[in-house]
Amino acid sequence: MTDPFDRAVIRERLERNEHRLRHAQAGWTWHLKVYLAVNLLLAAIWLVNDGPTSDPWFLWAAGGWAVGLYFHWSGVRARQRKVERLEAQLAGG
Amino acid sequence: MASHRHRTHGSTRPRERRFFGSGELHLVLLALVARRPQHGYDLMAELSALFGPDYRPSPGSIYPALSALESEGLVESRDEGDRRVHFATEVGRRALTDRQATLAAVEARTGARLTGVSVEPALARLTARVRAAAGEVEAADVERILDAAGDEVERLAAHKAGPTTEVEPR
Repeated sequence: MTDPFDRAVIRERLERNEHRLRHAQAGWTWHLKVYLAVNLLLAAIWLVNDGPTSDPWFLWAAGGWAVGLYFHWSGVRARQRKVERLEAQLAGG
Repeated sequence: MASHRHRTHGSTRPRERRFFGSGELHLVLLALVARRPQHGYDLMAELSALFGPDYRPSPGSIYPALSALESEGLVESRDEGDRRVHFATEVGRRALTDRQATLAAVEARTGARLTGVSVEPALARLTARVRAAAGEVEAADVERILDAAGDEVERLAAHKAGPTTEVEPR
């Protein structure tokens, strides 16, 4: 892309999306940390209270939450792909 | 119960239509700094005056757009006291000339006047307005009105050129 005006419009859109991507990535990292902390705690409670031979009930919570975590990650990935598309446009691709 | 009147987004409020289309804000900013050098705060005030109350400019949209225009060499800026004044470069003016039709469409849609005394924007504006109304009126009527306007302009030009020049009406 050689037209400076079109480049300016794309550049502004790219910078805005990069900013949002950074926020989204930080949000997802935070979500992952909370997920790990809570589920480790639940696993510890299971281990101490019920013992390793009992039904691992904490996996139900961990599994359900993992689905939410996956959808959150998908949103971040979509934003990342948008940024990559805009970068390619700016680079002339 | 807590009030949510001041929320700017959320599921309870319908999504507002964007005031400017893609790239239009950049074009409007370019037109304004091409008219006269201005700093960001002046630009926001002028945008409010031109498009308010339907559009309220925010620093979060104006400054990134200006920065992108500057990165691509369409706008330059210099410090004047404690303020940063933006002005259009030659590249910026060329880009503006290339996009007169888009600018005219923004003018026609909003009623704002963004350009100076050049006849080109007025022609582009006229074209946009006539095209918009073309389906609702007889083409012959439009042609007659436009020809009459052209004759009027030619008569004015002839009058300025001197008393001996005659212009035959079409």
